[in-house]
Amino acid sequence: MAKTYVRVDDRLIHGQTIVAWCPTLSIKEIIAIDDESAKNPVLKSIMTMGVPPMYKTHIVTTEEAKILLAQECNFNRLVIVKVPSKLEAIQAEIEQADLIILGNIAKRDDTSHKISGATGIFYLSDADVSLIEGFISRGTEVCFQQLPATTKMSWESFKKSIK
Amino acid sequence: MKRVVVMGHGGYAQGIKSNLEMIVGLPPHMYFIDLTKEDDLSDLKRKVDQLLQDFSGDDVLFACDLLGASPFRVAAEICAHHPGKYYTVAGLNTMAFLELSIVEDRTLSIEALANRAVESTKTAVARFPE
Repeated sequence: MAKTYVRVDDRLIHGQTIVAWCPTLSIKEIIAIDDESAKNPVLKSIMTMGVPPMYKTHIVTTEEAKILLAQECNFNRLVIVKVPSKLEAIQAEIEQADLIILGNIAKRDDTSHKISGATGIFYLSDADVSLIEGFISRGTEVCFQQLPATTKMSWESFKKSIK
Repeated sequence: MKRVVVMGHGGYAQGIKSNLEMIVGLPPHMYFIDLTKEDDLSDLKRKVDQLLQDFSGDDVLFACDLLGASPFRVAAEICAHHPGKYYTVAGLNTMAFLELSIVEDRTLSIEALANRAVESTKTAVARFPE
């Protein structure tokens, strides 16, 4: 059965996504959601230059992503957003996602949690944490993992670390 | 003046620098910037912007390690704002870097330099025995 994976990574589509995550997760379609990149043809073409043609790639606005995600699909998809807060806008569309992988999430003004149990850079705000808690309570698996080969940290271990 | 900025992940630029230093000596028009594990994209952009401040009016060729990756994207976005004066190439090998380190032909445009670097990379890949 086709699977939907969600990745939060502030670099959106980049080398690690293409050479590591897509083959590991048997991805056929990439849906990268970023309103700024989607509306800028130059940014769009720079970002897609490094993606091999075997992947169906969309760099879209949130609204366009909702339409794409509503469509039936018989192959594995990778949905990428830059920041956790974007997950709220597509909450209904990714409710059936198999896994949310938190990747590179740089420090922002409101981030009060620095996650150190996994390799990589992960910063979350209180709002991010409660938003992700919502996905957890509805049965979605969430983890921190930079690359398929690096240490994976479960959401549960993170929660224990902040108690 | 034409400048070449080498950019890559985790010591790539420093590696190219050491490589060139040993073979031909350090070329004065070449600059080397690495994206480290601790850097995010804005750190890398800051490093590049800082360097470019000294280059007013010069032509720049960015040579990045990996097509589509963060250093490439940062460079390509800057190029988009300097059409005809800034170019980005990715995946060059030592042969191409050696040619870039010499830049013997001052009449060569920055676009021609970018094209030559890509072509040199392709022709300097080989297998033995054939």
